[in-house]
Amino acid sequence: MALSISITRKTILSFNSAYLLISHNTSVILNKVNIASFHYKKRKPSIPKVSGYTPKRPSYLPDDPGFFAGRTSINRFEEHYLNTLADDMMILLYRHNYPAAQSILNNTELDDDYLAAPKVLDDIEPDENDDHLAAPRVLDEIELAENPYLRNRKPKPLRTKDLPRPLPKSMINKNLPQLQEIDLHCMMRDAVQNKQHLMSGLIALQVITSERPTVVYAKNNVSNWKLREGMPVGCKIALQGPSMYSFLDKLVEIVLPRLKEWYGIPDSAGDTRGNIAMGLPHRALPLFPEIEANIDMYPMMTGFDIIFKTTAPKNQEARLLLSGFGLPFYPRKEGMKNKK
Amino acid sequence: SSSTTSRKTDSNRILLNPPPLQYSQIEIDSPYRTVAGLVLCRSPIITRDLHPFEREYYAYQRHLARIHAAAFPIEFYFKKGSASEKLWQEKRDRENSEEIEKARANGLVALIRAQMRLDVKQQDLIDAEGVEQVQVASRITDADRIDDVKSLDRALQRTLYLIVKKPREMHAWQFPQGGVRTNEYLHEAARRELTEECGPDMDVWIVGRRPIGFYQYDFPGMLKKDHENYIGAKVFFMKGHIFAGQVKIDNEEVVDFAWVTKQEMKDYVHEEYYNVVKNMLSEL
Repeated sequence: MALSISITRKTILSFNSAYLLISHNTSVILNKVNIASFHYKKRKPSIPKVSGYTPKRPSYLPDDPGFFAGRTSINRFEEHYLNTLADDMMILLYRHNYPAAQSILNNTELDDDYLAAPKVLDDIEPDENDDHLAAPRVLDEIELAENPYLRNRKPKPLRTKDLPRPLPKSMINKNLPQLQEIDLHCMMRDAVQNKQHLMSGLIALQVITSERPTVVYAKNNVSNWKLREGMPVGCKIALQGPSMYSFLDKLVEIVLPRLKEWYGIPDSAGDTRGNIAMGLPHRALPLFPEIEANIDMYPMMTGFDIIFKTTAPKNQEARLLLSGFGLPFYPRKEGMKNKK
Repeated sequence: SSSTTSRKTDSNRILLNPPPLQYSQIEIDSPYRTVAGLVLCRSPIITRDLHPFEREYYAYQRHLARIHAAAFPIEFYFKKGSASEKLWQEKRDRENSEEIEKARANGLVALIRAQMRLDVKQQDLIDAEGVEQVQVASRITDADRIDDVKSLDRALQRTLYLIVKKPREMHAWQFPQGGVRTNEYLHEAARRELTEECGPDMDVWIVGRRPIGFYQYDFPGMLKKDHENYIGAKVFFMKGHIFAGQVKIDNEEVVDFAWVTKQEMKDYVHEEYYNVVKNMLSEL
């Protein structure tokens, strides 16, 4: 719990500092925009409270009811990251800053061919989506005064995508991209008709991850699908630490190599914030060893989404990290599409 | 939109296929020869041995996790009357046996040791019944026992580095290295030099195009005749990984080779050279 709060606070502070930097450069007046408590459209749905197994206050004391055990063994994938992968990523992602070299280049006379040729400095070229210094879409005071529709109105709240992204951090050991979390989400359409159909997905996710998933309830009404707000339609689980690495191990070593008509994650995957999502079809579920052991107990096989959350600031860095763990990426070509 | 997608995918492939140098490289008017060296690593193949404290801590946490875990649903995993259910019941009965009860009275460590002994006994029973078991290979290989420094199967939990021996007395052992030509990148030079000195039978991946280390030295008196225009060399070390294959030396440029750990390298390379390269090397 404490960990999640500190992460949010950090990101908000980084937004603040980045925003102030840009405001200094572009002289945007910030008085009207309330950054510290940026809000998004919140709706209070009538979702029933989940009374699951997850303890409210986890404790390391064995006699406490909210106890959970610490690490029970060494993680193979974590060791690989610490010994090999982090080292290689540092070499590939390092950004050299040579102010002295730049000044030398500016002073000396170089031939036109050298100046015209593209200088490949980084091992990873920047993506068009990774525009870190993009200014946010904020109206300044003059525009506000001129626009008659906005006069005497509260300024529109900023959306997450309007906020500037944090500036790129210096590439030191602490800032290397790391795999933070793996989120599994299973949406079961048949649960709309019969709530009991949720059980197969719930148990399947529990058995794969060895942790209890939480139920996901509908937020909208869709009459075409007979969906009403508050209906249980799926389940999700967030994995961190040892359970995350052991799930990744099973996925990369056992499930994905045996999955037919699945070529990998597309080369263009990523949400520009370091998260990469993929989906597993229903035929992937029986490939997990825990489900393969008693396949008859699962009458309904459902697929699920997997979201890899990394601390990478760019798509390419997130893809580099995941490919280092063994996840295959394939170039998007005609005729090559993962079968659902 | 097709142009944007192609640009996204192209940016990933620049890693593998850098564009060829199209402009004439500036001739560096320096008395030092530009040299590319290669730190070729064989990464660890198995996880490291645990410290005794680590082992005890993990055993204790496993014990705690086991006693706090939810009850195992036998009916969900085993069909009634099946052979696997029988095996499971026998294991459970053994866990509740007298031996365990006695050990429990003696404390946690004795309990865990008794459980581990029972697991071994159950393993023997399973082998006797002929159930298919995975053969676990030994963590210490034959190459470890005979100390074969040329083998890549030695020291599986450590990183091994390739060093080659040049036919001279001083500074004989070093990483494979060679001069960089005017029309090639550093990593291309490193790859070419490796093929020339150590043969083409290795599947090597060089990490990026940036060096990981730098060493500038003046040629000792006897080597000055080889490179007349230069008084020394500037070596840029590149990192590489070997995935398959083995070194094949020609006994002319290179007379010997060895795959050694960071600590063992001290016995081969010169002290000055070791002090320069040691920070590039992994402790594990």
